[in-house]
Amino acid sequence: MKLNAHKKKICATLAVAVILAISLAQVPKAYSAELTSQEKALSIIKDVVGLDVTKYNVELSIYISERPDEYGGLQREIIKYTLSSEGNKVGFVFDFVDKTFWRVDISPYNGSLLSAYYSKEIPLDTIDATKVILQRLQTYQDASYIQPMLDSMNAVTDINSANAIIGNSKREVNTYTDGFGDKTSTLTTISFTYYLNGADAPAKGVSIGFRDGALEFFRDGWGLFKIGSENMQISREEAISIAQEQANRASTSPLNFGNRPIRVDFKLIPREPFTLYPFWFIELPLEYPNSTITGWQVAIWADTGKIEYSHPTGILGTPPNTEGSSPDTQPKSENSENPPLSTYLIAATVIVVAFVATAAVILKKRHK
Amino acid sequence: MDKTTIIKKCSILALLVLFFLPSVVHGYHVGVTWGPTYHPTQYDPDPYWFATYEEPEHRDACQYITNLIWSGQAGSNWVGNNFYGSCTTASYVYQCSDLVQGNPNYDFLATFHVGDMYPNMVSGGYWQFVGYEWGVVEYYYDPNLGEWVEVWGWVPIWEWIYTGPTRHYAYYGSQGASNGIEDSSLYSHTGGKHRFTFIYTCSNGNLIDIDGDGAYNFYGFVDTQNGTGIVGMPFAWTRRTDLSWNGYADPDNSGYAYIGFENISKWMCDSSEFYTQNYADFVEHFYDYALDDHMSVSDALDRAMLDMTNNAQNFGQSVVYNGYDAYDPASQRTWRSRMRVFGDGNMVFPS
Repeated sequence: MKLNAHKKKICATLAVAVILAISLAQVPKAYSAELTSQEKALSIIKDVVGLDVTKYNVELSIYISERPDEYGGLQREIIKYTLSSEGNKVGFVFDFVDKTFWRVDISPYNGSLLSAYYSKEIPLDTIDATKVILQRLQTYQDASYIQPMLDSMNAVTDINSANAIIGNSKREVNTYTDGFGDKTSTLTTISFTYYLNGADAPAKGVSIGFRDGALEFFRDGWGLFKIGSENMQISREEAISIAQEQANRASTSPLNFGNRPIRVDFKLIPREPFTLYPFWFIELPLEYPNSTITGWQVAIWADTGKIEYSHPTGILGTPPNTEGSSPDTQPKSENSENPPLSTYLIAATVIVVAFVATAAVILKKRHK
Repeated sequence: MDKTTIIKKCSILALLVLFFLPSVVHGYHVGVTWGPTYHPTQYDPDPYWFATYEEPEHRDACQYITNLIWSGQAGSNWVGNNFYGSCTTASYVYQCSDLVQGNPNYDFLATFHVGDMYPNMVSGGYWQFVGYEWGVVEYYYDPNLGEWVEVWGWVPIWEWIYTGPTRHYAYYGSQGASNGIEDSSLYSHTGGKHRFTFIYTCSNGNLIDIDGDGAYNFYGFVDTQNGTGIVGMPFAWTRRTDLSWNGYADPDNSGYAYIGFENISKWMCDSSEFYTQNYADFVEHFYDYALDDHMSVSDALDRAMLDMTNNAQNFGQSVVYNGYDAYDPASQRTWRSRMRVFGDGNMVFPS
């Protein structure tokens, strides 16, 4: 019994030690609690991006502190650091919420971040670079949710086939190549997004972007956002049916939905500050050949069935090669006069003269 | 609102500007917003839906931007005016442009316009000399004779050679195309102070295939083939043909930025990319960051898009930048469309 009691004491002590160790591990590093957000931003440039800031002239270009309503009274800080050295200038725009890092976007003003001064290099290979940034971010944020993301990357050998659902997160790779003439660039993004019942939460995730191999941004909203409800009152079919009903209510005559496909998006979207709820977005196509109307959009909260909005959408004009399709598109002569121009000019001149004349008369009368 | 009221309103505003000019000090920056209430198609249910859902977004966006200036958030050297409504006419846009350009007290003009574009086909051609014919060269009244006298001689004959139409770019004024803003007319009213322009309409950020070879290599040019003048709204506003086609990712540090849509711009109340917000919110957030926080154009676009997409996408990741397929009821086809930033994404609005 005594031995058992002793064992129990040891076990209890160990348990307390383990609990303490675990809880301490969850607490951000002591220094990070004391640092200002500006200092934290600089620390991220040094420790996560890995730049050698001693080689740069560091300027705090923008500092904004506010408490927007949509942040529920939490402090939002926007910080921009501009780092310049000979032949190299780069800007870092940070967002902190309640002193917690949320996101940073990096924009080189000239050259590329690939030719920046590093104290800790980032690998050129996208998979390796992702692992390095995740590892550094995990150390900086002291966030346990990053470890499974990091572990999952060990199984990735081809960045183009990295899309997967891993537990409650969706790993997704996107590539964007902008075709703007002879100068093109490619942005590759890797995101780990919270995923629930087929809905992903763009806000609650960790994402990293590389443009032509150079780090362009990284964000961590996983810890900032929480799930407000997992309840699903409205199914996909019900959402479409509600949308059609809503659209039909807007017109006395039956609407022509045409044959184009219905767009249905299912997401987790903030309804309260930093709290996400399931949300249906439906766009019903509308066919009105002689109008600028293209569809009807309805948004429904899937947990309550409440309709967020219901409205039409359309376009602002007519694109090229369709000229002549409406009475307003008749060809006009280059030299055609614009009647209101002269009318307004004459009117303005007359009024100026009248005003001056009236003022002169009043002044004259006053003199008398 | 009848024509007389419009004339009165515009004339009063013109007066205000004219009388305001002498009192300002050097180095003022001007922000103006324009938006006609005119909407091109008149087929049910378009007019009612436009007036109910879309028009208020236009009005609010214009007012929001002007409020940033009036409240002093943009800086104490900013002056602004909201010309949304009946005052959005070509003549007044041109007058305002001339006044800013011609007055040394003003150094920077930021323009925002929201409305509908229209395709403006201008017939081109030239007069060609083809010979002489015997005919009346002069006709005058002789008081001594008390009658009209004809003087005969060789009269040159000129023939109009039609070369074809040139597609120009334009957007409606408050009375439609009759007082619409057109590239070739606008050009003579712009100049070095027209630093930032945001035209929220379809097509006024298009690249142009000049010679029909399938290559869209220009955003503006002088039409020498048909002699119809300046083509392209970015060119007409900035008077430059050398701006970067991608001022967002490849800024040219020119100090000029022009934002417009290639092909189709969606209604401002459209929520398809932003779910709980819409394009009007995007525009307002952009101006918040650019005018109030004095971020560069590219940074402001990034922050606005991050706000719109709940942190999921910056501007470079967005479909607005990378392109979206938008359906056009007139041609009954989809058009690859996007928002283009020409020029200098690094440009910061002065304070």
